[in-house]
Amino acid sequence: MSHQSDLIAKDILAYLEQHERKELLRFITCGSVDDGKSTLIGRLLYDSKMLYEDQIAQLENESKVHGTTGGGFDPALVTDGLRAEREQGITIDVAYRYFSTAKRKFIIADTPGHEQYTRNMATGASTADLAVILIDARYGVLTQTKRHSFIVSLLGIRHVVVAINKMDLVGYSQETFDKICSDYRDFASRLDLPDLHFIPIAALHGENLVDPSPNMSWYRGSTLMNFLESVYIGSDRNSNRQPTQLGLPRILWHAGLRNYPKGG
Amino acid sequence: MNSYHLTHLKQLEAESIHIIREVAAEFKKPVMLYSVGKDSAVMTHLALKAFYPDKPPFPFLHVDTTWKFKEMIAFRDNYVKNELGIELLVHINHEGLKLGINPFENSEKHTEVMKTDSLKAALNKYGFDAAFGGARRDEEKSRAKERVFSFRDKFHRWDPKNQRPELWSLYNAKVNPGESIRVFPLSNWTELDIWQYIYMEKIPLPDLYLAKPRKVVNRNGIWIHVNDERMQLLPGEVVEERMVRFRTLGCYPLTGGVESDATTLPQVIQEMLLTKTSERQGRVIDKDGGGAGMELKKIQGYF
Ligand SMILES: Nc1nc2c(ncn2[C@@H]2O[C@H](COP(=O)(O)OP(=O)(O)OP(=O)(O)O)[C@@H](O)[C@H]2O)c(=O)[nH]1
Ligand SMILES: [Mg+2]
Repeated sequence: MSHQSDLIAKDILAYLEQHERKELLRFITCGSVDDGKSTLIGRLLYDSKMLYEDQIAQLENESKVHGTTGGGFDPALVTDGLRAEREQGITIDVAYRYFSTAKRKFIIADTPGHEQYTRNMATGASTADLAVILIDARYGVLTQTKRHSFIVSLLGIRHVVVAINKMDLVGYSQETFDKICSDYRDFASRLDLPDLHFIPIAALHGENLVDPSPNMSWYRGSTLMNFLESVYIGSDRNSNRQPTQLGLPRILWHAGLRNYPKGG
Repeated sequence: MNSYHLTHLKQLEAESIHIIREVAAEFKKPVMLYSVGKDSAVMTHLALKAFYPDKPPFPFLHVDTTWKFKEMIAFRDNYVKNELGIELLVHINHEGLKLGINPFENSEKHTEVMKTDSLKAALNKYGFDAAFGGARRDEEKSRAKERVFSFRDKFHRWDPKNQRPELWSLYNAKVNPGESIRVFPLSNWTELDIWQYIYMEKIPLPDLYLAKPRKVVNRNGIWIHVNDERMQLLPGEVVEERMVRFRTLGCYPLTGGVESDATTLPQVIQEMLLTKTSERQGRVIDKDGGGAGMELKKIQGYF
């Protein structure tokens, strides 16, 4: 179910062959507290039909108890899996989720925005090829947005999508979007972020995630999902992990070197 | 995609092998927890690859509740122990047996005594400082939050609110006497990755994963296999023969089978990809303790 393709039913061997060749993209969501990172991941998985029915039924029940959306389905609960997170309505530690499309396989790390848990954000970021940095359209670039951007740059994540979220709460205003983009560019010019993109979204309502938003027809770029599926990551350092060298450890082992050089 | 680009399965394989070697190099006394299921099968395969042509430099440990499917025990002994020649330790909580603990009367108690307590006792008995487990982050929402190297205090407890940083593929192996690390080399594998890898690498499995006519009873909507004469029927339950297979393997009275016609691996994969329910749905134990069941069990020291 975390995989969608007509080939599965028609020709499973062909599907497996295709799936075996997929590339892997690892990305994180990050940014300031409560700007909608977990909501975005939950909604992305829900809209691309990556959740199982029993999971959705369970999430609907839990939304009534722990949801921050007034009893309706709260997509953030898809990744906020710890008791304390549900009780407090915030993310404490990274959650990993997995899904694949016809083109790629994705590993997502949903990181916490709260300042106190910044080191957990760094844990999630260290293995990522791409970062989605969220900004609440009402508040613009905040201290924590800058802190996370700095960590992203420091860890050498080359591809960054700045997702300006909660566009519904600012009347889907292009002006607001443009202003935040330009503020962010000013700030980011001091960082090493070579590949920077901006997408206006409303994560809670799934706007510009999988489907384009009718409320923001002024935006002509790709949806987040489209972008994730097509961004070129082939030659990047973070995604280019070395193939396993069999044999070498054994030689070193026998030579008495228990702490042989770390591969990969 | 150029020829230098690794497919996702090759990347996952390389990552897991790296983790397994790290543990062998960094810890004094590691052990691989072996549960006979498909994830254990992949972990076994990776452990063999990691040190080939030598045997893995650590033993395997099976915590046997005595209620496993008999096919699992046969597979464990015939294949892993005899054919692969792996050093296999089997631990049974005999105190629990004497108390007559069983999965029919109280499944929570059974899991706690015969699985969680038994595992802790076995780890203490041998003094293992690192234990590999085959858990995956895609299985369950609290597992999705756990590090690859998961620190446990001297009571084997997990503290989800205070996990260590884990950057790149550098793993922190520091523990004081009595403390330990649970290591999850398959953290980033999904159920599909596991199946696809088993298929590609032709990894042997117990045939419980394939559908065949089996004697079952319907209990709360799931098919429970009458695996031996100890099966206790509830009033009104009838034994029927159905084509069923199992998505996960555990104690037979607590493991739900699914009706299926999948008699080959690709058919199993196909059904799995088309199903609308998650793999843990058939597990009775996850439902104990409500929505936070697994997190609570991990805090108490369950895998
Ligand atoms: N109106 C509106 N509300 C949103 C949108 N996206 C998220 N929210 C709400 O914002 C609140 C915070 O969302 P979360 O997804 O928990 O935020 P987060 O960034 O994951 O928070 P931390 O992980 O704790 O830093 C929730 O109540 C969401 O329902 C949106 O597009 N529009
Ligand atoms: Mg969050």
